[in-house]
Amino acid sequence: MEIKSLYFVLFLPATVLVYYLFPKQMRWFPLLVSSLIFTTFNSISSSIVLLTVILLNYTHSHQFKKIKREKNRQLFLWLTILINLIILSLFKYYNAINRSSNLISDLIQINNPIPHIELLLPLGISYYIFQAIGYNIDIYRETEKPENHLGNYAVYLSFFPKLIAGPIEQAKDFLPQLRGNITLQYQNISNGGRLILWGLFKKVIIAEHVNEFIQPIFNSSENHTGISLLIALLLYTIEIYADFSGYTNIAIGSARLFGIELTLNFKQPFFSASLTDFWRRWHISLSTWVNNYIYTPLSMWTSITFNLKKWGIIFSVFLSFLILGIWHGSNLTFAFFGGIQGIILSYEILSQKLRKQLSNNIPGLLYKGTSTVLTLMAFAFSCIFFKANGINQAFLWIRQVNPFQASTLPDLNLIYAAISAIVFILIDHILFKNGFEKWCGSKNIVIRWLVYLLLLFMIITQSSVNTYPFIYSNF
Amino acid sequence: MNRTEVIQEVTDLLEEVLNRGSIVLKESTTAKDIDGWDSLNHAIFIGEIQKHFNIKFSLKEVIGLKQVGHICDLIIERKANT
Repeated sequence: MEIKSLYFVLFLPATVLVYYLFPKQMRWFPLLVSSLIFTTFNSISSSIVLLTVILLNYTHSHQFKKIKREKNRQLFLWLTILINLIILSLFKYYNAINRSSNLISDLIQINNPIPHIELLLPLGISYYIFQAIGYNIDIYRETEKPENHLGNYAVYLSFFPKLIAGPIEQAKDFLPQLRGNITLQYQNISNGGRLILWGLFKKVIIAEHVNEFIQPIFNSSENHTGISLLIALLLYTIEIYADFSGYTNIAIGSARLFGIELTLNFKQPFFSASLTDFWRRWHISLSTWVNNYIYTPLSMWTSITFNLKKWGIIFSVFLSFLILGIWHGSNLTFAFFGGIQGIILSYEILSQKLRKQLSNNIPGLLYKGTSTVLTLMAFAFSCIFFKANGINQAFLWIRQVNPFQASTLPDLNLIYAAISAIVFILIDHILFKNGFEKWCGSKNIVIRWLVYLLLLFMIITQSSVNTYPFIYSNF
Repeated sequence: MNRTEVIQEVTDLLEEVLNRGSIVLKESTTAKDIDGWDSLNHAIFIGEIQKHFNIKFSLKEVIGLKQVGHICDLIIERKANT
């Protein structure tokens, strides 16, 4: 079920209505049923995989308290993580492994030992598997207790507003809300509705229209100047932001209708003064997960085992972001995407003192402005690998991105798109700094309704013909 | 060694890791209270504590270690067992 579709427009309010008709202690039931309906709309196999992961992890989470020996608890945790990763890898990476195996088999002229099966990625698997793993780790660390209520646990993994592309919720933030005393509040309905509207606007008007301008340039980069390709690349970062943060707004807004708060996933990322800062503002739920469950244990382990100091940290950061890149998909380009983040972050660790000295000696605004632009350029560069279909295409674009190759000026439409995109970012990051819904709430009724009607009018009448699913629903 | 001595030595180590002086640590101090004591420096700090006091932590122990008071508890417990 596409979130932008008419089905969802009917499905969401119907589910909200049924939800509030149920007694509080039973509300997990309509949430679970609606989430399973939502998943089954995608495919029955998506629901089967989801239910399997729910039951498997629920069972495992309750075994830790029965295991007394620390060594055995550790082994059981590794087993739990391994099983989850095998399930995830099977669906995410099997096809890529099979293709590689085919190539090798052809080379050495033997039959491919790996059977060919076209596996479709179950809806949301990357997100709920990560949640399941994180929760089991928290239980092992004894910072969380296993959830006794199977229904609540099932909703934690399957809750449909966040199923497609997150946020990746931590149990400590989500589960208490299900056990809590949620009442129907006008504020939640109005704020939820505002967020959904703004999210739809970002996706349908900003992201998809930006894509209209830049996709032809990526499709035939050899027919465009280097400066056009550079502008297209910078606009691509805005397309991803509008697409993904738009989805997140819809997810958070939809959850708010049920009185449930989801985690903030973006926090003015284009104002970051370093890539380290950027990853505290971009896809926050994923970078938090990676920090809690990969970087922190890895860096602590290198520190207490080898005391490698900065080099242990650099190793941990690089590996963490490599894994973050690979999480996106089996294409080698994603590994490069993650690896580039790791390299730049490592540079920032090594140059921390130098940059501190520079910031003390250069006027504040100049330093911050330059740092912000450099950070954006660095992220945009890494997005070459995010956008490209393969490594060859990525390296071709790198050779072609040349701002000094200017035999002709960039297309006027492209410049218009760039200016519009910058205006959008400034409005989103400054005017709506505390959230679109809070900004609306601070205005009088006339202004609020003018804004609502304007956004709705644009969504209905100005949608791009070039519509496509949310980018992060592919991961 | 007494608790005050442990806190003083831990403070000296943190000053060394963060490359600055005049840090004041109390039992309840956490990383959020000290400028520059982030997740990057925290891992280095733990490694230096191990080396300085000649003790060994387990991974599970250090992951949840946030407060200076808890760090000192662990140091004193380890020293008592060696």
